[in-house]
Amino acid sequence: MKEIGIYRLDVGSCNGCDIEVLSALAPRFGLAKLGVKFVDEPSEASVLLVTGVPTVKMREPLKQVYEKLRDPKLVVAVGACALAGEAFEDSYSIDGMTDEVIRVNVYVPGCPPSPQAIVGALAEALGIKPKVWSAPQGFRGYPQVDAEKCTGCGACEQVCPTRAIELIDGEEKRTVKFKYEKCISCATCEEACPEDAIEMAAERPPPTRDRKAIGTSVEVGLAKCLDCGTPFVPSRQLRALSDRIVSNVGEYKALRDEIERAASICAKCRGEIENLRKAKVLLLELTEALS
Amino acid sequence: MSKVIMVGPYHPALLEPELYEVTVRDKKIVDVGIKQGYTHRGIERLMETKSFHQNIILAERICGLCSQAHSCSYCQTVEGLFGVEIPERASYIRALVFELERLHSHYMWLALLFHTLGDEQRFIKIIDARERLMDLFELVCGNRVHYSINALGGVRRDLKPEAARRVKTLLPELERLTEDIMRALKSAAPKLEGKGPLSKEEALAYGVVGPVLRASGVKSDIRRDDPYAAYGEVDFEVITEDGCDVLARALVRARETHESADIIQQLLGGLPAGDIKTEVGKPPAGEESGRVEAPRGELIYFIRSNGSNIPERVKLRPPTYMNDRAVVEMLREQELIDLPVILESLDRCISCTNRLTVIDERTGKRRFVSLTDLKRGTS
Repeated sequence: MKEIGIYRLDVGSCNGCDIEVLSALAPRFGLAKLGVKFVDEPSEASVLLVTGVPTVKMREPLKQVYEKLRDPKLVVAVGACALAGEAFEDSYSIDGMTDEVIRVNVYVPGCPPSPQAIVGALAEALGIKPKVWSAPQGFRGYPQVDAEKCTGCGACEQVCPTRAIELIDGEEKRTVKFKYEKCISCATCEEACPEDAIEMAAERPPPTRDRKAIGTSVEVGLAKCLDCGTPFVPSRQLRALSDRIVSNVGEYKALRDEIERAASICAKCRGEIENLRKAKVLLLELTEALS
Repeated sequence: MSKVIMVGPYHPALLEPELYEVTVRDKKIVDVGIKQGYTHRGIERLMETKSFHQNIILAERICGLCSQAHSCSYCQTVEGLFGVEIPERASYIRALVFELERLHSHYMWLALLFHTLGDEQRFIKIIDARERLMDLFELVCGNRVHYSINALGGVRRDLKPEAARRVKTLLPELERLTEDIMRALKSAAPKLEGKGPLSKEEALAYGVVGPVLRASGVKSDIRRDDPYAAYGEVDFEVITEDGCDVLARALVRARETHESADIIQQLLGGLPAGDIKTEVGKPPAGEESGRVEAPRGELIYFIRSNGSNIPERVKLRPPTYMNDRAVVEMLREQELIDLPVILESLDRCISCTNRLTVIDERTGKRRFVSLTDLKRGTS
């Protein structure tokens, strides 16, 4: 059987994915069993591995290489950069993602994906059943959210360096969406979560054919402003807030309901004279409770 | 008759795209021009839009092979700006991961050198042995590449006794690998000797750094000259070679893996107990610079803060920025057939050669030559 040629092209990566592609040549990953080999010329290959986020300067070469490929021109996008631009999406030297330049068949999420994942994705692209590798001890995978614990406060969204976490506020609910296509498993969200609701799964993410489909999300109900009725804050967050205040300062226990009521007024309505007056009263009561 | 050859993007073994315009006369190289920017991602600008904490992750992603060097250098500089001392244990863990990274980077380079020489068997052998090291990264840091272990004020993951034990047991195995590589380099010496010369004076004039500088006989190492992390606590030799050629560069890196293993042994032996992280507080306004010895040489960070949680300016000078220019000296008067191995000897962090455009100097005609043909000497 003739071996299938694979061509690797770096269109703006940090090397991370490239060294992992190279590491995949180690015999333990069984790349040879797939009947593939790396070639030096695009015209000898029918599979293209793209690493990195396509910079403006590499968009043309990427197209040229794709044109030179042999049929069926299979493209595997390797790593978070090649999928959705990772942290570089907003850069002036980036103009669109890999799949906006050429057609991509299989996406390998991860930053960088391990050689196991890359070999798995190649198998997937070639229509071979991939070997499943379990993740080792201590492996930092993708964030898993405990829907019971999450209050929807959005601390994770604030700290995420790649904007892989999105808050979508609806009429009734807030959706906290974790987009694995951009996730780099840095665990910054895990550290920032005040409720310990996020844990990094010790699993290698599987390759996918639809990058937007991978991820997880949590829905939390939104509380309405007591004054104007606009939904503005997750009700669970309000609860967690008053819980924390009461547990930190025991003297405030009796005023708990009032604290929660004061927090249930949206930023706009807080400036109303009537609300300011109420807030002043509450402040006096809080001071009194301490003395 | 001379012609200009464009050594353009991509090759499976070499890593990143870059373009070299090589002028050739009678199969000898006369001059070299360098074009960069193919993988320019505008990171310095991006760093001015993200918080000090988020930038650790971004700094790491500048380079996959020097990930710890970048994030460590960045964190050190920010900590200097904030005026924070990191706990001793954290500095030991930083140095430990740093040396593990140097090992995997150097082994990768040595593997690629043999690949460039056409010794596929040894290439696979080193890559395979290196895998044992990569497994450790998952245990120690949680990921094989891009460790995300540094935090402002320390490290994020403590070194567990189990991990320390496994690092220790791997060291003799790596020593054996190094010895094996040294023997292989000895037998490959005729192919490498005298190639890509860069004299001590030229090296200093071009300001090259790291193993390239040390291979030209200059004893320079930031770990010794300006100790950071826990390098002040360990004893090691700064490896130099006087060959000034590709062989010397290979020997420096091979011997450095031996030193790194030794440093790791010392770090594990003296690992102090205690906290791994301190609070950094609010950012003050001011400026600070910091440097580390990355696997490829001196890496400098400069950061200016205006007191907000987003840096006003981040400037960095990676080692390849200095080394890449010296390629002009190294390639001059060299055989065209030696071009791949000389380029490889720099361990550039922006690289790549495969397809060449040959331009006839008189007619201005271009033709494409593959690197494979170049290796065979048919161009």
